[in-house]
This record gives sequence, structure tokens and C-alpha cells, in this order.
Amino acid sequence: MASTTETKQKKMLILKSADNDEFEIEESVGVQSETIKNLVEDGFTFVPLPNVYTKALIKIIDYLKKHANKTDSNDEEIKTFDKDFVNTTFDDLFELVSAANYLHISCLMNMLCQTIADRIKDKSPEAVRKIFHINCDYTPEEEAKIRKANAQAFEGQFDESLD
Amino acid sequence: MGGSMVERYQKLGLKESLNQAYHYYCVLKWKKEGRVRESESVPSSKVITRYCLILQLQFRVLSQLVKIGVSSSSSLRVGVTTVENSKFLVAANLQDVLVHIFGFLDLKSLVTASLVCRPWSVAASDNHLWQSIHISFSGSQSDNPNIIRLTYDLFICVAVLTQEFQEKVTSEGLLQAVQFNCLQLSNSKCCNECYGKITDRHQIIPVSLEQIVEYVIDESIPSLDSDSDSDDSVDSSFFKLWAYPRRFENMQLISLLCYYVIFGASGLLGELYMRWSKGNIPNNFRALFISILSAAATPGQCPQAEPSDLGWDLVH
Repeated sequence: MASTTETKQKKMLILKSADNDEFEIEESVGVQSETIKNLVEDGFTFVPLPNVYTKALIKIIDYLKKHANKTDSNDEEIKTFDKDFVNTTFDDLFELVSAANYLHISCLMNMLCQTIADRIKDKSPEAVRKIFHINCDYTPEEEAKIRKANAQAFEGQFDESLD
Repeated sequence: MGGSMVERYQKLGLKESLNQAYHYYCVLKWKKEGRVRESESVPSSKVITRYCLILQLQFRVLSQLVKIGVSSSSSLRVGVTTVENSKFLVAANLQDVLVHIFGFLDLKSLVTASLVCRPWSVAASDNHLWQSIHISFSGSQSDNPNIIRLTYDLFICVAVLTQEFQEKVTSEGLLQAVQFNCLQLSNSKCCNECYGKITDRHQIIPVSLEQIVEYVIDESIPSLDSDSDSDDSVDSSFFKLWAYPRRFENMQLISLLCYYVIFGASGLLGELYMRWSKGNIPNNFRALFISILSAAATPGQCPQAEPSDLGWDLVH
């Protein structure tokens, strides 16, 4: 699509991940992120991202590239891409979601949060704790009390699977 | 009323006195929550963006300020898979992310999530979350934090009452009825707690959540150990606190709510109810039925729940 001359004229941004890897992307791709957009408006072309690790950044750049070329014709393609994008492990999802939050990419943020929410829906507190690697910080007495107070909430069917 | 957060902030001269990094953190946070408009005398977005970068370096310090109850032992591993010190960064963002995620949860899952651990419980009771739930059900906005908070507590109580009840509650109409009651109750509660405007016509009595739920479900006024000899004077003012506007649509929904609960308990009454709702039972029969129900729902303690008092005659 873009000829060589156009590519040269295009402003490029350099993103630096927390692992000190640098990525070069087109400005039009980068400005989908509010954080990057603000910096670009201030004249920055080098963007350090101390909160975003390379692994997540690669995926996010993929996402941004795909969505930057959004037209009516490739709507289906993007949908398939999104589906694959979120079809990953919980740990990856959390990494992506905190990166997306930091970069202020609202559409990605919504998609990821929706995915996570769908997956933790109807799970028992225990299963959720395992998934999130949370140590329960209620004391046993407190927990018993809460369980007693909300006994009915624990009666229904819970999904105990961890994926 | 102490004014808005921004007003307090300006009044206290925090802008001048607060450590710069903290100051910008505050503003950033407000900005995110939409509390600060561009026109207000706080740094513009561009300035903030520049300070964002500085803030990155100072986040570790800031995290001391904004420790959102995430102790190192119970760190939620949202994104913390690699470098140790990133935990701090994550902790600062964690609450926002969690709230965002919870925004997509249904009521039951939200209640469950709040039982996972303390930070989650904090996130799950986020005002913005419940405000949006409130808006989506009641269709109107309310800035009163107490209403929102109370909505939350009430939802928790209501959602866990019974499985059957829960199903009924999720049908839209009934939820509105519950919402309506929340507003009623928290309005009267707020007279007491927030604004200090206690009129002499109202006697404000602290109410427990159980009592509120009881009230919502069967319309009975919570039983109090009041002296029987002062019944007349106490009761009249007391009832005014709970005075119920005669909104007949809502009354109907409340009555349904009430029936559903009893429906589970008694098959006979349930059948009666079904027939009644189809209009197979003549009018006087209906009045009798209602009084049986009120008696069953609130044994021996609710003279005010007499059908005529509650406008039943006008409902149908």
C-alpha cells in the first residue's frame, strides 16, 4: 500500500520496553495509545515505557498495527485476530492488561477486561485465588464469619477449573 | 459538606505545599476519574504528561503513599511475572485495573470477587462501579456516596438471600423496586450521617443492614425494643422516617418481591398467589389473602403493614 517515499516521510517513533528493547513503529500506529499520543504532541519521538515488558509490548504493537489498518473490508480478519489475541494464559492476560492500562489503549483495555471478567465469572473464591496467585489475607475467623454471613452465595454451582 | 475534593485541595493550598510528585499524582488520579476539568486551575494535560515521565522514576516513593492494601505477601500477580520492583508499579495501577475488570462482571460474580481478599473487596466496592450499576438500574445519577455504598451493601445482602430470590431479583422490575427502596432508606439515613439536618418531625434511628433487607423484602418496620407505653408518640415520628410515598407501581413490585419469598416457603400460598395473580380469586378473597401474607411475613409486629394502610385498595 505505502510506497517507499511515503514510508520515508512517515514519522517513526521508538518505544523502549522495560527490558531495554527498542521498537520502531509508525506514528499513526502509536497514537492509538493515549499515553504515546500525548508524548508525541509534546514533540517526543523516543518513548520509554518502564512499565511495559518486551513480551507484552510485542503483542501490543501487533495489535496496534492490525487495528491501525482498520477498514470495512478487513473487519472479519480483525475479529479473528482479536479472538486469537485474547486466547492466551491468565498470566499473559494480566501482563497485557496492565500494559494496556498504562498505555491508555481503551479498546484493547475493554477487550482484555471483558475477557478476564468472562473467565472469572461464576468461579469460587478459591479458584480465583489460585488463578491470581493470591494468598487469602482474611484471618480464618474472618473468613468463617464472611462465609457464614454470605452462606447462600456459596451454595450455587461454582466453576472450579483454573483456565 | 466539605465541597468537592478539588475544592478542598485548593482550599488547603496543597498545590503550594505538597511535594511536587505527590501533587501531580493527585491531579493525575483525579484526571483519570474525570474529576478535574481542563478549565480548572490545575495543570494542563500536557504538563501532566511531562510529569508522567518524572513520576515513573518516583513511583517507588509514591507507592508508599498509595499502598492500596497490597502487602508483599498477598501481592496480586497482575502483570508481576518478571522483575521484582515492578510490583510497586503494578500496585499503584492495580486498583484501577481491577475496577475496570469488575465493571464487566455480573452481580453475583462481583459479590464472589469481593470475598477473595481485601484488596479485591476494596476494588469491588468502588464507588464508580456501583454508581454505574446504580445508574443502569435506576436510570438516574446520584453523587451521594452513601447511597452508592448502601446500594452495594444491600445488593450483597439481597443477592445472597436465596437462590430463588436472586433469580427474581435479577428481573429488571424487581431490581428497580429494590433500588427505589435503597434510595428511600439511604436518603433518610443520610439526613442523619452526612448533612446533620434532622427535622423535628423525624426521629432518626440507626438501622442495620439486616433490618433494611427485612424492610425491603416484607415491608415490615424493623422491630425495636421501644417501650410500649410511649407507642403513640414514638411510633408516629418513627413511621415518618420510613414514610413510604404511595408509588403504586413500586408498591406492586414490592408486594411481588414479598410473595416470591413466601412462595418458596409455602406451596399452598404459592398456588393461591398464582391463581390470585390470574385474577381467579374474587376481590374480598384477595384482601384476606393479603392480610394472611402480611401476618406470615411479619409475625406479630407490624400494625402499619395492614393492607389498607399501604394503599392496597388502590393498587388494583
